[in-house]
Amino acid sequence: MSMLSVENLEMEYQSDRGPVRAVRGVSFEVEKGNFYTLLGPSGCGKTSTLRCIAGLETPTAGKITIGEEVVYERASRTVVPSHRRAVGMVFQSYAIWPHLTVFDNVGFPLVHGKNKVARSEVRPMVERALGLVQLGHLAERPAPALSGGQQQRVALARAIVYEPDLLLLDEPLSNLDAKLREEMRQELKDLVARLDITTLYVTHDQTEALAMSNQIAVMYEGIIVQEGSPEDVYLRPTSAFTANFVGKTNLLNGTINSGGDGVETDHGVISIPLPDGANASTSVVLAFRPEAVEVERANGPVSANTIRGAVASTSFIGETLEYVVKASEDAFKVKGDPFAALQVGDEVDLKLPTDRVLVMPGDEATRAELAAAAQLAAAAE
Amino acid sequence: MALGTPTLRWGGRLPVPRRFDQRTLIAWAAMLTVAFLVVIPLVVMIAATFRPAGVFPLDPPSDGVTLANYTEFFAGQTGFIDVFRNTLIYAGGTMALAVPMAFGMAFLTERTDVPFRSILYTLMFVPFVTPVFATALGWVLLAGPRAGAVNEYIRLILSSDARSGPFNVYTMQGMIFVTALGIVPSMWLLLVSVLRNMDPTLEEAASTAGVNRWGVLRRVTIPLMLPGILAVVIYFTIAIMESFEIPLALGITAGVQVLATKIYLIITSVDEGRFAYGAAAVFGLVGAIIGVGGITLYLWLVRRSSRYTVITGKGYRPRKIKLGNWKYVALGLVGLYLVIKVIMPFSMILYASFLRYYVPPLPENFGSLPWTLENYRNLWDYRFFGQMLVNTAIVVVAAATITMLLVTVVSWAAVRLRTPVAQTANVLTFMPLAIPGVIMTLAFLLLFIGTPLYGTLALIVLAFTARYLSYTTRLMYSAQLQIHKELEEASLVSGLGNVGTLFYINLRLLIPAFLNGWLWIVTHAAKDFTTPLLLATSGTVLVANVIFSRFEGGRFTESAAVMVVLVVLLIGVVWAGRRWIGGEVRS
Repeated sequence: MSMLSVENLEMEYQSDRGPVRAVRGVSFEVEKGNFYTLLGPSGCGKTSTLRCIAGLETPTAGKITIGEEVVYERASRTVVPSHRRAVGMVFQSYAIWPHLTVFDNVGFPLVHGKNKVARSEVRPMVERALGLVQLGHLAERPAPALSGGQQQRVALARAIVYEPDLLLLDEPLSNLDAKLREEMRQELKDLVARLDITTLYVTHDQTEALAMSNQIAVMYEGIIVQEGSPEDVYLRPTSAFTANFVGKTNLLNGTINSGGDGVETDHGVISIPLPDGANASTSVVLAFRPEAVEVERANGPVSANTIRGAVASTSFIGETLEYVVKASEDAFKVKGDPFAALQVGDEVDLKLPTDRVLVMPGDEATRAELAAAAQLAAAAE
Repeated sequence: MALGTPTLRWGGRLPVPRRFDQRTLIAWAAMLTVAFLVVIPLVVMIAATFRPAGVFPLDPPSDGVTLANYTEFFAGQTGFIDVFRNTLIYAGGTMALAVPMAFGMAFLTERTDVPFRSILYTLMFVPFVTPVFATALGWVLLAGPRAGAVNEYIRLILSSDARSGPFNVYTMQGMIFVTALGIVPSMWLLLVSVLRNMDPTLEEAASTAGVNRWGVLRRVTIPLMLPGILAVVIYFTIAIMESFEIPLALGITAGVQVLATKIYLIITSVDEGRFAYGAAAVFGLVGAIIGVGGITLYLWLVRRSSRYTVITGKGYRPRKIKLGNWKYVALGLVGLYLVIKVIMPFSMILYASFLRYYVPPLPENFGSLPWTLENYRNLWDYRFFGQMLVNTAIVVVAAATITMLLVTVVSWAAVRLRTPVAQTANVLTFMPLAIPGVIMTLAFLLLFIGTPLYGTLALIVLAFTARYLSYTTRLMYSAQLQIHKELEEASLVSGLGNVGTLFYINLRLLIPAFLNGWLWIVTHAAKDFTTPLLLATSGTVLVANVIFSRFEGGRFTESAAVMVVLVVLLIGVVWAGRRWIGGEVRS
């Protein structure tokens, strides 16, 4: 059963330089109990989408259904205000009310508004929620006396205490330091799994998205460019943007050969299944992950689907060794066995398994998208 | 679900199309309220300029429409040339005296090592709780031409036979002197912030370039501060146009009428049984136009001076100039100001309040001073004394509460919604800043005269609300900007509606600023004479009316006793309020 359904969502807001189309026709569904992530660089429309679902922004078109209830529909002019939607939300700033204690922050939704419960139920429910985020011992502490990680937990407890149908998380980990972020990532994942709560998560951090989600939608310029499991998105990108935004990618220019069964490159022909409709002598870009490549010491003549080059630099990062290999004008990032280190200047062969290579058209639009993705990925680091 | 209690309370309702949602309604309500308070009275005032004498502004047009008010005004029949010349001399003279004093003290307290700085800072705030009228009364007792204590002592020392002088507070010079004393603290406060906003490295750069200290002051410090200082000067020039108490206490006896007292005199003097509201309204309109021009210039200058403001954020303080032994001279000068402004007039008022009738405190009288507690005891006997205190308390508390609630909503709408309606409300709150208080009050009088609201406390409350809207909106607006939007959104998502969120989250977080503004209004409204004297009737007498009526009747000692009670009450309120705010901020 789908707990959240978004259809052709559009949103525009007014900026100083006229209207900006933040969301341009986004559709997706989240199954009950799923952890669904909107992943993209800042300004891609992911937060706007989330805020439309929470009712904090009003879309310009489309339809949003939470559970059984249509909360927004352009056609029927339905707009359910935020406070009547069955959602809980954790904000990027945590939004912990500084005038209340931890207990009162978490209990707030149970005391005021539509999620009000009987007085006698407030304490057990708040204590249960605080217990779930391991903050039971801090209940009476004033909110400003909390660390960032504790505030984050309070925000989470406040969002789940009234058992909403849908939990919305807006970059909840981005204000934590690296170590704490990793810890909370696991904890958050376990908690929502235990509660079996449907979760929509917004982040610019690909590691978070890959580690936590059942489903990822990669967003760019107001649209979803790829939707799929973490494995799909990382290993089998279907768009130039995904390939270059999520993870590191090597790019290789080429032209489809006359036989139509391979790609002519500066490093010989790469024989590879080509997408339907790819014509001979069309320019293409091949993309492959550093992990996709097998690195070997150069040995004998260059075999098929292999690039020969020389190690230009190495960096040892413990679990793996990263090399930059130069082959004529091109430089490729690859990974190698840290127990069998190569030296700078060593001749190597890079073997490309053809099922791990993405073939993209070599037109201007694709190149622009690739460049933008690389830049945004670097900025998001 | 692991949390248990699986009761979904939000199920089963129909989505309602909401074209006019709550937020839009709140913005409209705020805008219309502000428009009612500031626009409509002024429109009625303009209408009143076209009505003949003896006709209320809102009477049907058939009762007469005339241009006579304008022709009389420009023909000089109402004495506008004298009034504007006096106002100009009064404002100019006050500025010429007050600016050097305030700048000198700001410079001493901010940029030199004058000793006891923290005590001086505290003392500089004392004048804020003392009514302007009290300083005027104090100086009447000190420098009244015949029985003024200073005059008496000077004549005694010089063994002069003269019956009066050498000083006379009932003159233009006397008005300027007392007014300048009064505005120095507020001016000092603004100049301190002008001095603080300046980047000290700009001065240090000049020093290292080989310019001496005097050169730095003259060529860097003062030119950089000039737009800021000019803005302060213009702001206070407008404030002096509003100044009512001192021209009332001193100018009327001196025969010097300024804009504010002229309007008051026209309204209160019934000429041949016919009130001349039209003539007053023309003065009000001209004053409003001057005020709007002045405030436009002021805002332009503030923008200009903020260009010079370099917020370095490094948090280091400018080097303090070492005064050496001169620092005791500097301390003496600041001390002298406080003696002249606070200690001398208030000693006189306190002294007079315990006398049956006023006798100068001369050695020859010491044996036979008519000591009494009657002035205080009488206060409880006055049939209306209890009523006057209760009236004043009701008016200031209601005005402060209503105004603060209104400006909280206005600034919330302006910061959060940013819709044209919300922005309009915010912009409209600027208007009373430009319109002198006496004219704002006049406009209220003209709007409500002849309606059931006239002669009620509610009308006085409304007039105060309109007058104090500007300052408190600035205060709440900047406080609102400090509140993260997500704090409110978290409440909405938790299931609380817009109004509930405004109340439980927004207002709650704004309490320190709210209380600050509330106290500001209470102290200003309780000290104000303009609105009570123009709007209060026999049934709605306020403290200010009693002080003035006793003063006018020459019963200085009774007037002084009421004043002492007022000041003591105000000090109590401010002290309690500060403690309360302090507690709020800590929690």
